[in-house]
Amino acid sequence: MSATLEAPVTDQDEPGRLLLATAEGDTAAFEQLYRATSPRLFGVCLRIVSQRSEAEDVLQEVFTNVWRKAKQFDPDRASAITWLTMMARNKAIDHLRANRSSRMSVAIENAEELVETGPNAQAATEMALENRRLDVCLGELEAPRRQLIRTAFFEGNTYEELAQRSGTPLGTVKSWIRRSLVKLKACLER
Amino acid sequence: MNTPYLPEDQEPRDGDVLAGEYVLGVLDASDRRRVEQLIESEPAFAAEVGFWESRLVSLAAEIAPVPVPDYVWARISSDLGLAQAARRGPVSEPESESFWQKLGFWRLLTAGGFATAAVFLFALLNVIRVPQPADPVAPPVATVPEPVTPSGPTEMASTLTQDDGQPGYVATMDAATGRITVTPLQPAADDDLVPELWLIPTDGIARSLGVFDETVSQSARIPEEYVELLSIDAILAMTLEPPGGAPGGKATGPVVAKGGIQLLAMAP
Repeated sequence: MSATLEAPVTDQDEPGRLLLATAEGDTAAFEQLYRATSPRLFGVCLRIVSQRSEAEDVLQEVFTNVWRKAKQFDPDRASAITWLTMMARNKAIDHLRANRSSRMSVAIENAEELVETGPNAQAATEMALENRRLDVCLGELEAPRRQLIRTAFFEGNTYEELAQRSGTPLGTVKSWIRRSLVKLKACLER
Repeated sequence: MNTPYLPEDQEPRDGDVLAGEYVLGVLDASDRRRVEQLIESEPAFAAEVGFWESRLVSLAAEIAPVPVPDYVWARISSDLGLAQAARRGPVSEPESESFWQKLGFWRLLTAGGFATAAVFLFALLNVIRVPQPADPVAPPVATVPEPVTPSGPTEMASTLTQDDGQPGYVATMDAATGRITVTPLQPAADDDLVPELWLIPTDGIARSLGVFDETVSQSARIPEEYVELLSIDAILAMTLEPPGGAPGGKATGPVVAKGGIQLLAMAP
């Protein structure tokens, strides 16, 4: 595998610059943006859509969308990495919703192990900075609720699926997550 | 801000919680569509979504990057017509070269891809080896051109993989005899176009190995000057071209399959 495909995002502004150039129809910038960010976005897609060929389809859709919608990117509202990551997540979740039956179900107790948390995982500096605050705020939640929030984020599960996987009534899961979101928001705004 | 309300939910919740649920990814498909309409129509709600996105995105930093197979970019650039745009450029010569130089990326197939291809090839080789027409007059040794690597294996093979990762064609070559056999496995369906095979050595310039049949295994002679370019550093690519082959010897159609070349160590 080529080293260029795994190029780390060393300059935080680089994806932003490339994305703005992509919006102007710069194909070389678009390809550079792809080389710089696709491994990270592919990781995001694969976490939600575990089937590899499907995750590749989603990634293709993501970048096709990036090319077409790059003009909608507003650096004042979101960083390029946030914009790209959320587009990848949304496409992956939509794919998952449309193909729900193919989804394998893993009990929540085991799901946490699937998430890599090594030092290398902190590579995206911009996200890591924000992570400290989120970590603190997630830490203020009770452990089972924190795990529920994390599982929801990483797996892209619906309330129904979370209820099924955790063996908890649907109403309880909904109210746990909603209350957790209220607490999280209050903490993040502090 | 006002409180967007989803009719299907038992309990209404504040817009910031709904925005959080959307970004967290717990809503079902129909709620997601409704939320996306809200994002379009209510700037205050869109700002709430932006808040959650900028905070929760940091969880994604925990996910390790995963290398992407090269054919995904080939698919994207082909879908968006980027390769065609490059080839239509005003300065045709360097533009078309740069297109073909991109094929270098395709050389870097994943190890898994190679392994699968190799297994597949060896299984197939026993089936498709086309008997060479023997020349009864000339002594057999004299008619054989000098092999490129006289002491090493001269037989090579390539699985040309489609964008979806499936094998599209298998090519077997013998540098000693200068012959190539191409077997279509999953022909690219196009009534008006024919598959043309290209040899792309390390210089990145594509040389045509001819037009092949879309339905049956077909054998052909490799142009003499190209035989020595056959190596594990070269790749093969199949494009769809007008009947009779690419005009002017330059590929014009989409690349439908490509693959690296392997040396075959055959038992004597």
